[in-house]
Amino acid sequence: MLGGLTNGNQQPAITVNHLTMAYGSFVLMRDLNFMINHGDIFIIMGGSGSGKSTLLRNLIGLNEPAGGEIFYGDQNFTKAGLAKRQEVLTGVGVLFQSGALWSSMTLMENVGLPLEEYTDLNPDQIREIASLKLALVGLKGFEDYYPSEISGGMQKRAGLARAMALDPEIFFLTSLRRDSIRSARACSTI
Amino acid sequence: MDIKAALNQFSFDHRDDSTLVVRLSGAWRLGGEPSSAFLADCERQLSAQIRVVAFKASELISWDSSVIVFVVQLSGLCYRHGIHMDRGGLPPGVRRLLALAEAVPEKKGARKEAAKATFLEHVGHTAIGAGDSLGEMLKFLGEMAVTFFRLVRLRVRFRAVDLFLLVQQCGAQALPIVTLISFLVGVILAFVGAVQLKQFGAQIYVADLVGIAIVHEMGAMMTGIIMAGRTGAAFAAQIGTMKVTQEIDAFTTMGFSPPEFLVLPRVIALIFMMPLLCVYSDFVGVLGGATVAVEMLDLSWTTYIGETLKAISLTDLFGGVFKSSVYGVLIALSGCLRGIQCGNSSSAVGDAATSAVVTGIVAIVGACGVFAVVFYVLGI
Repeated sequence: MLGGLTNGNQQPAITVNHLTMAYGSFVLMRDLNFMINHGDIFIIMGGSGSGKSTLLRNLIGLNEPAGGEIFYGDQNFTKAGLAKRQEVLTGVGVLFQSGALWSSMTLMENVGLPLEEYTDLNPDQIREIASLKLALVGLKGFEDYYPSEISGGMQKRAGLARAMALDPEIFFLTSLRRDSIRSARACSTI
Repeated sequence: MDIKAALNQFSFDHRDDSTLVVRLSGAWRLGGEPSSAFLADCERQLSAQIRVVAFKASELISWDSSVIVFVVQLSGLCYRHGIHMDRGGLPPGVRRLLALAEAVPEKKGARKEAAKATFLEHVGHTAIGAGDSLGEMLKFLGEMAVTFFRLVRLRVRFRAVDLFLLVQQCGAQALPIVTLISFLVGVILAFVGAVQLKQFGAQIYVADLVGIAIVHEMGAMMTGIIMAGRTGAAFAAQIGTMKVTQEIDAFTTMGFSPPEFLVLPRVIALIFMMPLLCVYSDFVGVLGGATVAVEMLDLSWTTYIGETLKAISLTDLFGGVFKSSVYGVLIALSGCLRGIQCGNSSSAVGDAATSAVVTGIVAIVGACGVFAVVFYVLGI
């Protein structure tokens, strides 16, 4: 996260209150409570099938919690409307399990799309920033490749570059490897 | 047969009255006699005095999973008879694999019950499924309505590049198949008509028959059905795959609404391309009819074209073109709906594509019926 900007802020970045996650009538986890502070690296570990990814999907609103609430800062994310949620999510970078790059776009367009959408930068500036983000994950020179033309590991790194596109304060990384953590840390200190 | 017989050999030894020794020898391979066949032999050896089953593997040359399966099955048998199994005589590798297989106990309740649903249960599940599916469809249509409203107010976001690519895919690239099918439909209509009309010496009315049928109905309908099979299926497969690879999730979390970003450009592309394809299809269909008339009925090109122009009006043409545009919306919506409903596997993508074509064609035929009534009432 951007240390310099938010150091004075003592409020936890994410608060989870009595969260219950379920698929239909099958309850996966009940009454989950935790807090994540600014600057924390918070690791969720568990055996396969224990609900790590489901928790993440609940945190970013892809699944609706069966009970309980999620707060980003003092904003109640669970009760927020669509517009408010999108506003919160622009401050969140998500790296999906296999990268989830948009396959019809080049890496440059993948990283550039959020910038196009949420900033007033002109195309040249966007290209420059996207190039930088790709360089941060070691993919300089691959800007005009399509996701299908690079390897799985590279796709995952490009996914990370896209997650960092808007310099988010919060990163969610799934099934990470050491190099992803390193790049994310490096990015969060700029 | 000989080779198979030489595999998976074992014999029994009695060390003392209470111990049965199973001697494994030769090579054990999965291709040999299945171990389940041996169990009956083993069970016969288990007399009342036997308290321990042991192994001797000094003559075992090589082994694979067949030994493990055999020992596991034998172990179950011993357990049922209350007999102790001494695995000391087995090769260390076999013992390690057995330990690994037994390290995690079977999860209670995880095994799927081979439940046999009754007929009524099937009916019930199907009904509930249909209800859910209807709900999803209405939700999707609602989202699309909201998106259209935003389109009218010019508050939508999608990439112009995507739209142009889609226009190309469902416009120019569809021309060859539309040409072929439309021409053949024209030929078939003219041929069927010619055989009948010739009996009355009314050959010239083949032009009216083909012209009205094609321009009024068949041009739009055939283009619709071609595009449902070609483009509707492609939309469902594209969006379904994007769902499987979590690309849709990525759009959602980054604040791009999938109906707006993915569905809307597809709908727009088809709304604009379908009328063009329809006009083209009308033209080629009439041409197909003319070919038959000129070849079979000895009519001249000019007579045929003149008669066609007399038979059809601009209202007919615009009616057909308007219909094709509506069919375009139906094709795009059913393709995208099935894509968005797609499950999380490769077979689900296939189902989505199939279902998109079926939904698209049903919607087209349904709409065609509605149009027929409405046009009749309006006197068009």
